[in-house]
Amino acid sequence: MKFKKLTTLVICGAMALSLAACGSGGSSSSGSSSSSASSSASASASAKSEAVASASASGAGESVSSGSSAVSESRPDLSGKDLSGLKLGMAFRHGSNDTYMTSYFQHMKNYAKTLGVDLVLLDAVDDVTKQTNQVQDLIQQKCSVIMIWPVNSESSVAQAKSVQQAGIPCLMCNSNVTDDGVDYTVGFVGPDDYTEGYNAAKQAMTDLGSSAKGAKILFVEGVNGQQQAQQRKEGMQKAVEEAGGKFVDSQTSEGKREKAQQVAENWLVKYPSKGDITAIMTFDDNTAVGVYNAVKAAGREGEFPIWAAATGDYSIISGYIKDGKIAGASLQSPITESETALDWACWIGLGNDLPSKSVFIDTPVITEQNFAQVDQGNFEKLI
Amino acid sequence: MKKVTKFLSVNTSIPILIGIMIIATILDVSFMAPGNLFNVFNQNAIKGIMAIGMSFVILNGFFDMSLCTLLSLTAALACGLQPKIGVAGAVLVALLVGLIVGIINGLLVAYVGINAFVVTLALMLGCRGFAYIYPDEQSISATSDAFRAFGTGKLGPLTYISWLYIIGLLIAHYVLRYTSHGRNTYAAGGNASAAENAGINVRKTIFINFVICGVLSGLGGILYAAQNGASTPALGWPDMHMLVIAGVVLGGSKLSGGYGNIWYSLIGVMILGVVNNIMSITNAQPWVSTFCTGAIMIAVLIADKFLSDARAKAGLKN
Repeated sequence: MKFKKLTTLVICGAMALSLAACGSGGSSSSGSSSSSASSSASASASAKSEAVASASASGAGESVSSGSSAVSESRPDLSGKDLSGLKLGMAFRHGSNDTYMTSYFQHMKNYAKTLGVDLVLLDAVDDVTKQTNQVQDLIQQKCSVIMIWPVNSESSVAQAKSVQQAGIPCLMCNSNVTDDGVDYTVGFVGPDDYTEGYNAAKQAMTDLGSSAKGAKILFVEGVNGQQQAQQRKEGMQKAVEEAGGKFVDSQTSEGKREKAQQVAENWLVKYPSKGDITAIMTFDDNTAVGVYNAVKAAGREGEFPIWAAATGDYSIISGYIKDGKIAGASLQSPITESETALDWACWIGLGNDLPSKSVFIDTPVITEQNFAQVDQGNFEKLI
Repeated sequence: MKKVTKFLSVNTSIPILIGIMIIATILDVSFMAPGNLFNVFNQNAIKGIMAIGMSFVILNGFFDMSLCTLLSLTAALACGLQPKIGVAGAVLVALLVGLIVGIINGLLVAYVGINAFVVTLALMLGCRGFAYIYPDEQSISATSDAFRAFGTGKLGPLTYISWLYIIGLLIAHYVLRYTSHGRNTYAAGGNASAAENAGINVRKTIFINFVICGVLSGLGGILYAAQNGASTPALGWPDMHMLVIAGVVLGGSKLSGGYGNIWYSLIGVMILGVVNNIMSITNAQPWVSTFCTGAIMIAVLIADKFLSDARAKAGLKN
């Protein structure tokens, strides 16, 4: 009997030790010192110059200007600042959902180490209840600033409110809280989805030249009800209509490449003749690849251009846009975005304010023609 | 000392919870801060309320898979109906839907005699469909300030929802220990044939327990909507029912029925909560938490197996 009890205790102890080992293994916070802070500051400074350089990028032929009244994509100057005392928290939507989120998540951890700042980065794996709990955990840990990439913009109102009530600045990242929660935050850092769609479509219509007037555009939508997909669609539609074209058909892809391919296959049957389609536009790069696959299989490659509202996957940028398979998109780099968000979080943690309630990252239109000139988002930093 | 040993041999999950809390404190001393301990309780109160309903079903020898999507449906109704019929009406309708789903589950399992896994799986899929159809795949914000204030408000260090959980625990304890329905549940869960022969209405007992589970699952969805200030169709999907069942089983209640009590479920839910909390504090990846939960469940089951002799000596305590 005693032996059984002893065995039980040993097994429980072993399980407990495995818990302890796992718990400490995932930490991404780094020990910070003033020397690491100063080296990180120079890293930040160089990153800043890269971001500024990207602002001059433009599309092929006649370039388009930003359709947004947003604050510029500039980043704060952290050189010489001591970041060692900062503890930043981030409640992240999903660290392994797609290429963009994975790149953002991984690079933010790396960049925090480069800056020498203590970052608690928690992954909600798209579970809104988990994210609410994680925000409470970050409050308990007395973080200097809490960043939220919300699983759900509506639910993040309550999360932002609880952060504000705890006296901690709340910075929204990538997707903003809905309007009734904006007052609980210090601001937003991320892309302007509407402008991304608008700029990409405007460049597309410019490149179409005389065909732009009366252009018959087919649009592949994202997930129904998703704010980002909706704003990109509205931006593209606005630019198309301004140029005299119109969306003759618009169907959902549910955000999936395979579904987008099916949608395009059906369209290619429905619109069999040359001239039936002026261009196909999609809400993102992944679905644009699905459309390209359908067009290629139907032997209609080159008959009309395929445009995506935005791209943030380097394999697509280098494998499709560089070769003109996909005509172009607004380039939204997860590297630039994560670095910009962390820079501003540090800035706020040091007691400063955002220059505006919304700070949008730079998202230049990238095409086959301007590929070499556009800042390609520092994707090499992912390695 | 003998009494303590006897108590721990019956309540095997208590030493495990204490062990995990000690490890959590070693990993980060801030874990034991009173504020954080209350935080853990507050974070898991809704899960605990749903675990009360699940405990009734599990003590009866069944389990309910429909919980995870029923809660997203009731959350959507509680938010979406507020502008039309007011917050009280919306909450009542949502609770009524929970009741109806519980009645359907109970009727099909207890009176038609269909396997509980299949029945509750079908209801899970049905509720998931409605949870997307009703809000047109959209999130819905709660319009009532009182509703949102209840979801996030506090009385002392505990949220209103936590107080509701405590009241729920006390009522459930009373029902299971001091009412005929409670005793019938244990009897039917332990040996349905023997219970039937003893004159217990087993079918009625099963039916009532599924109804209790349906109503409390529906309440869970309403409370999540209040806490988040909004509903989302994906709320609870895909594994909330598994977490709630895990909480009940981790505490020491037997899936086969007839053994356990409501305090076991409290401890089980808190074990899950402590593991998640320490993972956040140590900045670990979420999958590490999932792995640890599985590892702890195995530890609990092994401990339960080895201590069964001691428990037999101590006598079953429900």
